Amino acid sequence: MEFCDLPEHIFLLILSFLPLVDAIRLCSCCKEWRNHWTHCNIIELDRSKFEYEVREAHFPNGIRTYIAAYVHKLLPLLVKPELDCIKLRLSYEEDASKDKSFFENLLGFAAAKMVKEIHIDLSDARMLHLFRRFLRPTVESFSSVYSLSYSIYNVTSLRVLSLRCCGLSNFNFELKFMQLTSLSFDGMFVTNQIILNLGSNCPNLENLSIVDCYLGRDHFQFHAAWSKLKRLTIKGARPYLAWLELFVPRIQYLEIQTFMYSVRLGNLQTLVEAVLDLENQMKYGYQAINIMEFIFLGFKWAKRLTLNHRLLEVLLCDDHIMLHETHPDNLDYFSHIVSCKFTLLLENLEHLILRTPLEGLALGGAFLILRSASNLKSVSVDTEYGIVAVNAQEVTIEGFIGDNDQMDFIEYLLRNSVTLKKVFISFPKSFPLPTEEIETLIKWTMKELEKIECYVLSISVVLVFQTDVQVCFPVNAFMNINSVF
Amino acid sequence: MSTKKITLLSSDNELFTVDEEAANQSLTIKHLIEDTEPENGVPLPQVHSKILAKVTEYLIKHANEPDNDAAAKEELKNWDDKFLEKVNHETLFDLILAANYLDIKGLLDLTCQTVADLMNGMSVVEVRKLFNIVNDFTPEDEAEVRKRRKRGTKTIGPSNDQANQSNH
Repeated sequence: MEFCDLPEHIFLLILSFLPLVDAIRLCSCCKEWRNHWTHCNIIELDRSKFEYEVREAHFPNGIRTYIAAYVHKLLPLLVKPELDCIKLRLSYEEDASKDKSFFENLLGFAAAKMVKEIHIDLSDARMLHLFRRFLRPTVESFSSVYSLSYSIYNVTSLRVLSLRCCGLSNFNFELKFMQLTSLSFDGMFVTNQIILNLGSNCPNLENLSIVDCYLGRDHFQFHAAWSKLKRLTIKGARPYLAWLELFVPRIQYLEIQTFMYSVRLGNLQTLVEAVLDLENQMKYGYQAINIMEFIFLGFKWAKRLTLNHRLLEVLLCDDHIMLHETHPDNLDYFSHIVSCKFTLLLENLEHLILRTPLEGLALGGAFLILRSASNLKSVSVDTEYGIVAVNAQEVTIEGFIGDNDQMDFIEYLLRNSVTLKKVFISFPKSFPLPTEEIETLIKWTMKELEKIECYVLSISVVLVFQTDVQVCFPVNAFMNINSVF
Repeated sequence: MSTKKITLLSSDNELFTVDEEAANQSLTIKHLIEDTEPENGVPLPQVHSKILAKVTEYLIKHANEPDNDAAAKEELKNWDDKFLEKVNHETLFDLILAANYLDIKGLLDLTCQTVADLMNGMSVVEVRKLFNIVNDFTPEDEAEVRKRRKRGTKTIGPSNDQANQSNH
């Protein structure tokens, strides 16, 4: 039995699982299939798939032009009256006028073919940089990005929509998306107004995911309108999740992994699985403790629970222990378990997953959870979670100019290394910077690093800037950087 | 709760017994049972025992598909991935034909998806090699494509451009 022996209708079925580019490649294998690619079902316009063509300079204006040519020439030839999926993944290039017609074309095509899924990913390094830089972005900060246009309303067949690094501008989801069941935002500016509109205009939404989005300190409320919602993910909210109210009658899966201030959870009787993390919430220890009670009240129906390190630590805190002040090694956590003020109701819990190295306070937190869950069937502990083994003691970064990648690297080291003692940073030798500039750069760097607010696992790290005179900055365990200037 | 057992008879006369609920996932078998009520097992002359063993394994696993339990769904998905992990091409194509003949939509989709995944991201030359496909484009055909490109009409897509490109 060979691939070529498969009957034609099977061949076409296999073809329907292939994205356009791969479908064309398969059909270019032999004459018989030459025109079969028109039965393609999935349009995937991913820049990485076109890199060869662009390198060959057939299309000197870059990938965007090449993909635009695809949209113009090939898509009208497709024969299926309905298509499943359009995926677009390209870096955003500034040429707004051209972009608009390109996107309009694509959305027009999607509407005509009654496409069920649309994924738009416009992230690139510059875009992410833009996002990171705007600590308080406004809707305007996203003005240079493609903003979802109202043409998307014509795609009435839409069931799945996922957007990444895409602007919403004035787009508010105020017209009905009757069929939409799954929606995800990644790296975007999302306001409570959008959430409210979604609730009333997407009556069948079952799955909502908000990842790495700027939430503008809004209050997020999910009320009765979200009657169909089954899965909710909120991850990495920036700057933090100010207030979350969740009164959703049918929720089954809840994932909250973010820095947050306040939570109210309603009766989540249908909850099956929950994943919870407080990210690097450190500064607001008291709030963390306060929201814990509400969270666990809401989680009492959960059968499966995944808890991360940070959360387990906070569990054992009370007014007398502040994370900042206590060294984990000196803690008698057993006495704190006994005096813990939480009443955790976890009788329904069957499967528990702990992502923690089980150290200090977190170990105590784990005991507390285990004690409260009387009907547990399985427990698994992932002790490596969140710790990437950077096992070096000294790291040297040469030619430091403070660009984004270098800053990210330093941040990564500080967050993830257990053994790290010294980071040497030296400045470019090929084009020496004037002394004042270096001084400013050092000050700026330390200021930037202060914003990380992370829990450094190594007890102390020293940043050594190698100028004419070496300048050292100790970074203590809780990232309070002491300047020696 | 007692469930009725169904016996399936492969082309080489091997017998396989499954619950009726599992067997009913195959519309072909379901209709055969309803129409003929066979006594000595449902005859499936197009399916060899080697393949039927795999098919019944799938049917039994998928007999009670979970509706709401996300974790169970996840587990089933993982099982599906493992199910076809070590299967060679020949068996895979036979499974596709069997799933097609027995009308088991889940298995047909799964196997076709697996074949599609095999060639995802490959160049034309690689796909030909993967599935032993003979290149029947004559040098003249390919020259034609090249000529068209030289004239400036950019040929995107339905040609074997990519084949030439991946030869570089």
